[in-house]
Amino acid sequence: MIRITETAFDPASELSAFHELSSAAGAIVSFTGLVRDDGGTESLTLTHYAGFTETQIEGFVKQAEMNWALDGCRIVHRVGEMMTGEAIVFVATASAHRRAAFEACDFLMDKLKSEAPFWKQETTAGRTKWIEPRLEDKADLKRWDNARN
Amino acid sequence: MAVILFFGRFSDLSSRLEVKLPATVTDKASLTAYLSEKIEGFGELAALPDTRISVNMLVSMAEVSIGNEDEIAYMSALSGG
Repeated sequence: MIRITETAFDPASELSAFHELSSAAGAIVSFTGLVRDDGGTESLTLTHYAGFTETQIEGFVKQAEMNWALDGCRIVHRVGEMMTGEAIVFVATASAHRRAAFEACDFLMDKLKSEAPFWKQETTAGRTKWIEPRLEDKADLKRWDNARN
Repeated sequence: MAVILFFGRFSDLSSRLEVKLPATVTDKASLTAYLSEKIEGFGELAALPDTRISVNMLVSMAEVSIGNEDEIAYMSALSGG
């Protein structure tokens, strides 16, 4: 399940709902990304390309399913303006075994960080600037070069 | 009318456009040249290596034809989620 929302969400509720749907799984792994305060950050604003962004993320999920035996997957992503401390992304994966759940969740986050069509603006001390892609994120993504596409 | 969308840094230059394309605009390259003449700073941004252009939500490295029924999106480097 993939959901892009302008509304704040509760990661604990998302995990609980995913757990209920994945009751037969042997392992569930989840990751929650929060809006970080990088020294005076007031807010973060994300934009996306409705329809296109969802399709790209569906492609990431299909890749994960080709590489790991998953019983399920849930991705929730905020767009619009959000404040420090709020959840920006939630990814959960379920599998029979922990390794597949861990690796698939890690893979999906790396794909989201580097290849998902989102554009981010940070407002600090009343000034807004675009956030550029980070080299670390691209390096993280390269770890999966041998994964099936 | 073609719909042209602008994402990321492109959105600083223009908001959504609905335009009747001139006959000289037939593909991504000619559309980019057309918009570069119309919008200050567009050509420089479009030339950056991380710029992506989608036509009807498909991104292709190959050239594709463009017409007045298409939706074209210009996307600057992705910030990621």
